[in-house]
Amino acid sequence: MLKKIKISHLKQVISPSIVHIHVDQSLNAKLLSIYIYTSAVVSLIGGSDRHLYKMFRVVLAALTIIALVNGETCESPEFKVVSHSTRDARLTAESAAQLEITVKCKNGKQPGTLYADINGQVIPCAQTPTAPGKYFIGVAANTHKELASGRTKIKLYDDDSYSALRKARTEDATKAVKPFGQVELNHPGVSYGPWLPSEFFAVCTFGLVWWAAYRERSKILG
Amino acid sequence: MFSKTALILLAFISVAYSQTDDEESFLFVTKQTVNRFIVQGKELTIKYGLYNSGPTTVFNVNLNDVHSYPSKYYELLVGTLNPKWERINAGTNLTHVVVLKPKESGISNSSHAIVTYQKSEKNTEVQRTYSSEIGDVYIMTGREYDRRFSSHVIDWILFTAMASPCIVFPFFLWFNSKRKYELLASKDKTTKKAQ
Repeated sequence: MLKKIKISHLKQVISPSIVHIHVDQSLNAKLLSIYIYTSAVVSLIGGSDRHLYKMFRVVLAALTIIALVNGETCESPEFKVVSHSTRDARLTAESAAQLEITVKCKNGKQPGTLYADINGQVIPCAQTPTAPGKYFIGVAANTHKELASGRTKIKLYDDDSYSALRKARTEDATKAVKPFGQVELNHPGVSYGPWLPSEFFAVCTFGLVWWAAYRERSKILG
Repeated sequence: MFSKTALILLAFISVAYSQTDDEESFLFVTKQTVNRFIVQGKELTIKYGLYNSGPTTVFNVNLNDVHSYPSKYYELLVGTLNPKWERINAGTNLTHVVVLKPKESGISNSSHAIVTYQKSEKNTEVQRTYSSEIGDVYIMTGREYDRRFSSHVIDWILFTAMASPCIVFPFFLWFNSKRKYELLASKDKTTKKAQ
């Protein structure tokens, strides 16, 4: 009789905790340990004592609320962007650009995965295991003209805003989703080399010299 | 001559194989360079394209190309040779750009990049795939590239400096004699007028 009650209590306690673990994925280990501990305590003590069992459920609910509030949302992020793009059109056949974004949050937490909206397509940003907090976005174009020169605005979405974006079905709804932040890609344009080659100036200079000499010669001879 | 059961068995097998291809996603990785020429001391831009074909998302994608470009021969300017993405949705076409600077010239071989990913979030079985490779490339020295493409202004200035004695010296001689002759001619004129 006592064993049956313990198992049913365990199930009732653990099932809401499992739901909350999915929401806060990076505090997973901490929460899991807390819940296992409290559920073990409940199963040991609150088997027959209903009041104690109710109190422990309230404590668990409070813990989940606290965990959700101090959650992973990054508030007021600051972006530091280093952008690089191909500048020399004679050295490269196609254009490519790369953005390196360093995100700093006020509460010291990192946003997890970031997604960038480039030319209408939302793609995830790359991260590297050696430098956490740095996000990389790559843009490639088939011709030099396809990569727009000047400043291009790129909207960034984190996990929450990205899931909201995917749920939005109409265009208005997609525009209404608030992005996590916005960065700019600065592409100064490609250069094909100097407009007038130096040979042109050399030819002009020596041509002038020759012309002056020819004029004098014709004066002497003529 | 085939019996009915053998034919039915063949049909089942073929349908089963085609169905497994539909359900699984495969990540195609291409590795290309956008450079026309690879020059020592100039930027080498490499573009990795990742394409998720198939209907499902792939998770925990890790691209490792550190072995192709050792830091002894290449300097990493922009990007990382070891990017990772937590998820790539179905049908997404991603690009990752890395800019390197070759330190030495000659023939160099860059091999495949190794990409590992998981087909599902729960199944931690890691699938390994290789990118396409660029193969053997010739890294030309800075001088060879400059010979064709630099603006040559300094070369022309040097040429002018070396050619100027040939032009300036006879010009100087002519100018002196011209001045003397003109002075003489004007003196003669004034003396004639005076006379």
